[in-house]
Amino acid sequence: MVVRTDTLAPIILRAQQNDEDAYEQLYNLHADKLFRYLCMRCGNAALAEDALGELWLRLVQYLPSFRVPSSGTDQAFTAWLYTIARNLIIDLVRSSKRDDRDIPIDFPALEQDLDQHIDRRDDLRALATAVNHLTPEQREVILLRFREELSSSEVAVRVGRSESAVKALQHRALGTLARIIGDSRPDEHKHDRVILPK
Amino acid sequence: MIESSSLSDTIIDDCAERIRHGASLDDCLNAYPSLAHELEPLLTIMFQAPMLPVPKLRPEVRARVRRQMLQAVRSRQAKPQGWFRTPLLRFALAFVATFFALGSGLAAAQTSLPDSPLYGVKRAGEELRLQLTSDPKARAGLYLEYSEVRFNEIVALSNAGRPVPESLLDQCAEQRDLAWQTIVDLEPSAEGALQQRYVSMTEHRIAALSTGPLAQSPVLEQFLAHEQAALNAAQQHPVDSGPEKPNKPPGKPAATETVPVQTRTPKPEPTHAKPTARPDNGNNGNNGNPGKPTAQPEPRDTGKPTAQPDNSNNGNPGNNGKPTAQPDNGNNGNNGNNGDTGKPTAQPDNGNNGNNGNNGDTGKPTAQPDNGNNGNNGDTGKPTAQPDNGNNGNNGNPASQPETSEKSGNNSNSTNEPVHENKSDENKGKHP
Repeated sequence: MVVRTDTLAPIILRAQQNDEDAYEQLYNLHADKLFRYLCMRCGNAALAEDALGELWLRLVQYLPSFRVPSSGTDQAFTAWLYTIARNLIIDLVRSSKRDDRDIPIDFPALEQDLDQHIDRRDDLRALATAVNHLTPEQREVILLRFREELSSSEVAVRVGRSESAVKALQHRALGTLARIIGDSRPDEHKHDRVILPK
Repeated sequence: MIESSSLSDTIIDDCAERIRHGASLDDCLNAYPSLAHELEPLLTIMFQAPMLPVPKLRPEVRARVRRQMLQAVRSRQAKPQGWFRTPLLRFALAFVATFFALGSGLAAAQTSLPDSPLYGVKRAGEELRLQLTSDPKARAGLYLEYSEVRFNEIVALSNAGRPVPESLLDQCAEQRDLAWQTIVDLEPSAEGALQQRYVSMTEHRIAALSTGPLAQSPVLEQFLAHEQAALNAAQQHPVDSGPEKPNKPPGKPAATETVPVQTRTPKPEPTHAKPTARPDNGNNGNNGNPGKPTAQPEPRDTGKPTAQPDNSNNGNPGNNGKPTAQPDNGNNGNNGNNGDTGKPTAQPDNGNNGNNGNNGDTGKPTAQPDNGNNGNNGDTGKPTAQPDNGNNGNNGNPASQPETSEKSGNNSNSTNEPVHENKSDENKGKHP
């Protein structure tokens, strides 16, 4: 069930009048999330940084043409923003002449982060490796749904799909991850219960 | 191997939603105890995934992107906004810019000559204006204007020493004829001003072609003749004269035109004429020198006077270099004789004729007693005193000739208008 909210409407309207403060508010609200999204689509942080700069320039260019709906402005704006991000990624991938299926997610701080979860390091490393075997759509849904902790409807808005399609992708992706992780374990540990966070 | 076929998308999503809201693994397994075995590996992944490393936006990159964004916002503030950016207005601006570009191109082409690359643009613009003009009066004005433009091009080419294309002469004449054709088709009330303009234009051209450097160009000789014919036709055309209009193209000379035209290269006539004193008490016969009005003074006493009493009416004009047959059925004085040519005029005379007027080219004064009527003299070689007691015929000169006196009666026509025939028949039979 999609919850419609309009908290962004006044900010967007001011931004459309070239209000710099409104743009800054939008930036502060979305920059980090967009960067993470770009990272999961681009595969590495450097490319995502460049993409982020280009994304906000496009936002400034096209925001005046964004039509503020009577309700659900937040969802409409988010969908619009992530659509720009996806198209940008498509352009970048096309210009690099690479198949985005081949772009693995680079977890640059994996080892450092895993130090915090020293007892689960092997499991997380196996999970990160398995995530890179997913399709880009599955990868996108899993990371948005569980790492970003968004609802199915929120994920659907960002990936430009229906909620049911997201649930199906989520189901298949989880099955694939479980199979890959299970296959990667030594036979004597295949049925061990993994240590879960409390 | 994990079998997830019995799990539905909804159950998995429900478990994920529970975890998102703080439920533990066991809470989820307890919610679906029959599916616990299948759910557990999936739920494990759901619990591990939030621990995956999260890329962090570096502060310097964050600041850089923010700066770029605000810079873009400021640069957009400097640009015109709102309605100015609408596609419709952009199209309108593009249209106006194109219009002015074409307009300036046309303006630049207006001064071009036929050998210029822009000349085609100029003619195309003229043709377009004509096509867009439906009012006959306006069209006539355009034809006049364009004919003037063609003539100016002819003048410009001639003055520059460049060859004048024959097609340009034809176009000039054609547009002049089209103008005339359109003018005579107009309502009489609308015709006058344009006809005046037409005549004025043609007169101006004839003047320009008859003098100056243009007069030296052999190419323009025939063009001048056509201009003169066009002027004659226009001058003969009655203004506001009712429904019947001569609708012939004025450019071609008509056989019956008698309006004197200006010769292009006026040359002195090869005449032996000298100033002639022509005593005239009445009307005179025609003078022999057409085309050049001469004032005929009072009789002067010259060295060798010739007594030519004339008591009767005079008859025939004494002009024209070419022989003309002019029947005379009444009592005619004979003819004022020929002026310059010396060619005799055959003039059958059925009545009582007086004697002849004098000849022009004789060079020697002769005493010719005349009991009848005298025609007047042509230009004689020497001044002659010609007392005339009777009425004379017409003067040959169509131009003004001052009447010196009209002492005697029986006067016939004595007009100074151009004449085509002898009008002195009124006096026939009155001769004693």
